[in-house]
Amino acid sequence: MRRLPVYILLDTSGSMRGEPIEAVKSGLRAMISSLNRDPYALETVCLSIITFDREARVLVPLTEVSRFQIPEITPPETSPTNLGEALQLLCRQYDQEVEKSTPEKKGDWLPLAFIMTDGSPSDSMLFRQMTEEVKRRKFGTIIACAAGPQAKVDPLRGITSQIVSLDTMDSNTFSKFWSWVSASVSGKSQAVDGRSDSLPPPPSEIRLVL
Amino acid sequence: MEEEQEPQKSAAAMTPEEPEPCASEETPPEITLALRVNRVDAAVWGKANECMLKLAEAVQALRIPHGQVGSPFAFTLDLQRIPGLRVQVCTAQGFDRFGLTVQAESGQLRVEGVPTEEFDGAVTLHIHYAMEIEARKTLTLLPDPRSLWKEIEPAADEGYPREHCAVRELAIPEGKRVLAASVRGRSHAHEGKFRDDAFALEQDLSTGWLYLAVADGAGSARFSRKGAEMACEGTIRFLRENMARLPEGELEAHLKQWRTSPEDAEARGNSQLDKVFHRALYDAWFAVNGEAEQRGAKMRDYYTTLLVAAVKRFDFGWFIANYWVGDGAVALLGADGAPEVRILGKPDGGEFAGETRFFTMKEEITEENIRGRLRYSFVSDFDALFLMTDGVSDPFFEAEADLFNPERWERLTADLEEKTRFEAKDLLEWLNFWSRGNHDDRTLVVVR
Repeated sequence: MRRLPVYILLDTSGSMRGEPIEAVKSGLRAMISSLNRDPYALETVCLSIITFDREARVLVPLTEVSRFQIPEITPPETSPTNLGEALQLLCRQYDQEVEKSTPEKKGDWLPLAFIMTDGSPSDSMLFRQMTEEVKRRKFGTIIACAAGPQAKVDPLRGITSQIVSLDTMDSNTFSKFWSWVSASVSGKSQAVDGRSDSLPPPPSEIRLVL
Repeated sequence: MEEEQEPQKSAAAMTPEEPEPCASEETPPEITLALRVNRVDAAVWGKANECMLKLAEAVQALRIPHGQVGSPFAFTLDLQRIPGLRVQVCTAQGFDRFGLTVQAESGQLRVEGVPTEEFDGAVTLHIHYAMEIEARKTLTLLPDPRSLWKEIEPAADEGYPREHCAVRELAIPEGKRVLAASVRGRSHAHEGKFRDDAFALEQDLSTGWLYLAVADGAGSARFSRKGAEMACEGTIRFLRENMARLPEGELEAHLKQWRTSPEDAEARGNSQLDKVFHRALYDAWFAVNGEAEQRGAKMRDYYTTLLVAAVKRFDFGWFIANYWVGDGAVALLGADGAPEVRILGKPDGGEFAGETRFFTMKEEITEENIRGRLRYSFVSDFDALFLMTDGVSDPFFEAEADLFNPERWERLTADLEEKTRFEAKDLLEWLNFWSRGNHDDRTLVVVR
């Protein structure tokens, strides 16, 4: 089976406590339920969730969307935003989980990654190092999302040129963002030769950062 | 083992009068499960609180996996790690509606079955022990993915309209038959797109050459169906024209000599075939390019793979010349009566799925690259010559190495034999076979 690996990196630093994280969770729930009604996604998409606050954690390793259950996500009260560590973990998971073609096995589709943060990396040294590591690995698309007024866009440019920003962190905006992510994942799982680089146009709540 | 001296209530003994959780009176869409847990081992007597905590933990940790309509499904609440407990089902409501059964045996509760209907909601668990535990768990029964595929007609203004399937049969004088069929994949039907695969066959009775081609237009290239069609038809037309121009008899004389030393580069050169193919592919490439220009589109919009073969029977046996760029397969079975399969070229697979090469790429049309992709085979006879797009080869040959495994080919031919007897009329239906994750367009050409 050729999988479409999708990595979701979520900022769970202190500032995400409360409404923001609840909104993220309900967004994720809606996304899973929509992917579960999409026959392509159902047969190809595998999701993984990596969270980062004072440390990065693999909350769910790559799991078929039909088996995926939303985990408990509880941000600590105060914590730094160790995005560098999260990227390090992403690279490690990528190396372990993503299957490349060999004569004996067919490879996965090029992985997608969605990175959402409401701040800026606290571990800037590691972050800079890790952006280079991420670039050494092939992805279909990496989308970084700067959520809310405190999110810094500039560091994200080190990871990807596809950056979106959310002005507010309310549940409506988050739900729009996740349904756009879901449409992007569906779209990618449909592009049977994996070469499509077009994403669906984002809704008005989401700004593409150029 | 000794039963604990608590008043026993079996499911049968339950009466609605009893104000117990076992007697839940919920409305049908609600799924409820009332259990009774007893201590049956003297060892846990007097440890009610400890057991209680462990039981509560086990219930809290229970996460019901997602089920899928039509596929076997089961989950268990396992209390065997808390020794001395026995689970009894008091009432189980709403499960049978979804084709599920509930069973309890000693320390384990098991719900299983093949879900018949979708569901996304709560299962309420009532557990009667030293005290009542009530827990709500989410049960998700997903739809059968097969039921989600839709058949949508492409929009009227899509451009380059074409049939969703095509089939052809050709008898050739040498006692063999050519069958070809192509179908639109579920993925394209679901999105309301046209079929991007194409094939072409041509028999030139004046020269005795048979020409075959299949192509798979790139899914992301908007006009790839036209690219695939033009690549197949163009190459074959130009091959036919150019082959007919070769002085009669001369090619045969060259081939006879070349046959004795297939590695001989000079003999290959004398045959002129590299040049003929180069010319034909070059012309087909430019025809696609011209079409793109006329339409104001880019060559990239017409990206397609291409697998072509020219086949002829001479006095000395069969000669097959073929060119292959991209994924899919060209295979010769039972050549000279040998059991192994000959793969006539190299599938262009990348590191990741979907990474391949396309005929329409500029760098593929150089003389050197074309020469590298051409294969010439001399055989006294053969059982079958297959040309197929990856829509057929992917589900039958999961990995590149499988292409070289004769058993895999045996499986494919046996399946074809059984379901179609190699009759063109049944081939279209056969091509719609179900294979999880493989829903691309499918095209097959076979000479046998």
